[in-house]
Amino acid sequence: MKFALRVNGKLQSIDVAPDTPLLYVLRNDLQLDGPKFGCGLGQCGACTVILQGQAIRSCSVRVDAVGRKEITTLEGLGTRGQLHAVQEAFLREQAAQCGYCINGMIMTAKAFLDKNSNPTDEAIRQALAGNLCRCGTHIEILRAVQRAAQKGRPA
Amino acid sequence: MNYSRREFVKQGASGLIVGLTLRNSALQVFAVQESMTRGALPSPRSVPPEELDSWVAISAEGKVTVYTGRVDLGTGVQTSFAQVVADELDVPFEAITMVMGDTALTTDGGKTTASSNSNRGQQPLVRAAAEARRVLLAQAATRLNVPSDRLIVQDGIVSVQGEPSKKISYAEIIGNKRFNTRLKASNPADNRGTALEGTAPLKKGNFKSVGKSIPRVDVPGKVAGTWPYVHNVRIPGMVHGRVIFPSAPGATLMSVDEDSVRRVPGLIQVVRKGNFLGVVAEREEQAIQAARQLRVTWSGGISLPQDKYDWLRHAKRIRTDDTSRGDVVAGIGRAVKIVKATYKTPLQNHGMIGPSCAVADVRGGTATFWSGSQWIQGNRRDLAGMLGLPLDKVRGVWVEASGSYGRLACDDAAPQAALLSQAVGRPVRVQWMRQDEQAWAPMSPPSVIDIQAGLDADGKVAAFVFEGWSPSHSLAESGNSLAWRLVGGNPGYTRLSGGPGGYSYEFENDRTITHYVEELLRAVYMRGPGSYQTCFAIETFMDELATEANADPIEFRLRHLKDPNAIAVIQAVAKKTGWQPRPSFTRSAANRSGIATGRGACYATSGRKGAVIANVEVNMGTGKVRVTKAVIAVTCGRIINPEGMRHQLQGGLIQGMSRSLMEEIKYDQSRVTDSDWRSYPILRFPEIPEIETILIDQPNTDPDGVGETASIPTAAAIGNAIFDATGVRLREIPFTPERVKSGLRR
Repeated sequence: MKFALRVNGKLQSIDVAPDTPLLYVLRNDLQLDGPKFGCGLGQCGACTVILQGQAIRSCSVRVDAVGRKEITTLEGLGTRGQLHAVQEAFLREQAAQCGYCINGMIMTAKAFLDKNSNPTDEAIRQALAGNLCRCGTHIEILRAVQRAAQKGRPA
Repeated sequence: MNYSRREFVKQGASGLIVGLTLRNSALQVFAVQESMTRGALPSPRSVPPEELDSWVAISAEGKVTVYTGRVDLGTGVQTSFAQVVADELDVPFEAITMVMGDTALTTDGGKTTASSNSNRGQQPLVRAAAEARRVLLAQAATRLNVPSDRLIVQDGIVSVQGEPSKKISYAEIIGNKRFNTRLKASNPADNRGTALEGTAPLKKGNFKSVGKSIPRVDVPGKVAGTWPYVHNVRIPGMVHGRVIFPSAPGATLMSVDEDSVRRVPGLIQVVRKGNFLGVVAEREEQAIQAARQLRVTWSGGISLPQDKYDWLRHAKRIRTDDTSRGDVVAGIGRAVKIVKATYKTPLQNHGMIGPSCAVADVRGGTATFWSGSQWIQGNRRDLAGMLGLPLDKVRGVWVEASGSYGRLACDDAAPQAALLSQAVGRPVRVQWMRQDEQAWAPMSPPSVIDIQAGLDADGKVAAFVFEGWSPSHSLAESGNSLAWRLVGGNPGYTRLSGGPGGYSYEFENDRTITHYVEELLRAVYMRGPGSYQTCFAIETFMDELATEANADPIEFRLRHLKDPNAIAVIQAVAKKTGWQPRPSFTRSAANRSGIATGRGACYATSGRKGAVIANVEVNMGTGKVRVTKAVIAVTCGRIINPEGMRHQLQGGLIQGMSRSLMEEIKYDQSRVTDSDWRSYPILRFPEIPEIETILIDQPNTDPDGVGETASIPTAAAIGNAIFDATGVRLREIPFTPERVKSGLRR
């Protein structure tokens, strides 16, 4: 079945079964490798993308449920030459070990900070509570989100 | 096609890379891309470690490419390796690019395990860099017509001391040419270069890059989503495979009803070989659908014991080690108090966030595979053995996977992908589903440990008897990939490792008995194998002894230690936390409601030199334990990258906390029943404590790794803090609320 998706500001047409999880379309059809497969169950957050301002688990959303809503992946936030402020903060804090979970951390943090520009440490922890990291990079990630929040705060 | 390594180096080091103006990691990225477009290439049987050209190449632009069979599991060693080589060679850090773990290009570096990259993995690189510098200086002396002792090197430029205009660059001397220099190997049997010797002395100081927190070369790509992971490998014509796992380990495949998947769109083939079963489809979601839908009958399987700890004591023994010091009988004889306890550590899962994944292309009598393996050479040998191909027809290309902590010492996905690719004649990508990783990954095996000790009248250990039972932590290694086992005819593997035992206390009289028993479930080492289990037992027991001796637990440990490094790390954490000496759990009238707080210390007696103090809050109503703060001190020789080391320690502590507080694999009569992150939870952001790290630099000692150091002492530090808070002594990991509550009721 043919679908037209708005991904990172571009209209993309694809031809897949309607129940295909969005993650496989992003990775395999559009070759957007930012979102990762972690559990396929919406439990770990590695596949997170932003759908019209909401951080969602792309492994658990059918492609036919997306419609024309704007999808943003890690690639759509910024590029290596011009990182988004949240990516820049993760780089500055060296907030990645294996980095497999980092897509989900950055995308979840971005959607969270867009709604809450002055969060407490506790609020950041709660916002990331559904994102798993096994290398134990939590402290660097928390610092990165705090750094991004401070940068985005109105002076 | 006759593939030469130099050809690759020339291509890699010339226009292509420079033109892309990528940062340091560019060549690794390029190497992976090259392997994907050129596919199956003859790979030499081995890249000779005694050839200097096997380790280092310098381009006409002065770029330095360093080759190692070691890999970076997300710990940052491709950055720290480059720092060390840059200093030894006297080139800028930015000039170095690392190529890691490609059997066509790199030597057999041995396994990237046991925190050994920063010692055994790094040694040959340092040696090769020093030799390269020596050769370059000798050639510069000839070209500049001065004795080589008048030469100095800065940033890859050799100049004459006092005559700065007389100079020549490394690139001018050797750019794009071979060194043609043989290194000496003190042990000819060593094929990994760890026994390389050279004539050039190694640097002992005046480092420019070493000791600095240079940002990691992989992080920019990781935050931008451009970093190559094995999960992202795409080969032209690649299709997707999924594996249908047996109903239980040891089960026999009775029948497969192919009609049950006939209508799955895109299905290419159902592949059956012995007990190995998989499906291949054009698209990933189609392969998943076929694997779910395929009707299969299995029969039999292993039977698992209800009480694994009791089973360990009676299981078939493979080997028993028994070592003694002094006279234990006499020591017990003069003891005024005898203390005994038993400690249990469960089966645990490495918990890779990204499940196993690999791509293989097996066609025309050659095979290429892309894998996140921690031992690409070992996995290549096994894959060749399973397929019946000569070693030089198989190329293994390492591409970073999800952090694996030991699990990918045996990559199970690559041999599965190879079997499927061989069957369909196309490159196949295999990725495990979450339930596969939880139930079928090789795991950290269980152990049970008995300790008995006698205290003398001075409150010192007069005798110490340790006896532990565990399966080997290596049994899932060579020849034991799941695919080869299911196909049958695998050679098995008998290496024993990780048995309980080993500690650095200097007891006058002691005895250690280690029983290696048969396999319970397929096992492979996990961050501090054996040490995590042993340290938990001994360091909890030392706390129990301190209580019996009415002594402060830190002071009691110091009574039995002479090693200055051990004393240094313990004193460092005590000082940092403002430790006030007193016996543990002095608040005998502790109320039985509300929140109780406590502190616990642990010395990493069976690991590298480290010590941890943990502070906990215990909810007396729910039994829930919260670690509020952890302080760790370590020594590991010369520190190469302080921030990198700090991050490793924090990560190890958090992973160790998670294992200690909540992790235990559950199983029924025949199979693991965990299937996801709900049935096997790990620590989350709200539970992360404040962590302080104390790095004790030893500039005159060779560097060592710290990946395991922080995981090993966490369990006992937390358990001892729970005792200090509540008087409840936990002798079984994990410290679940139920166990705490049941202790409180007693």
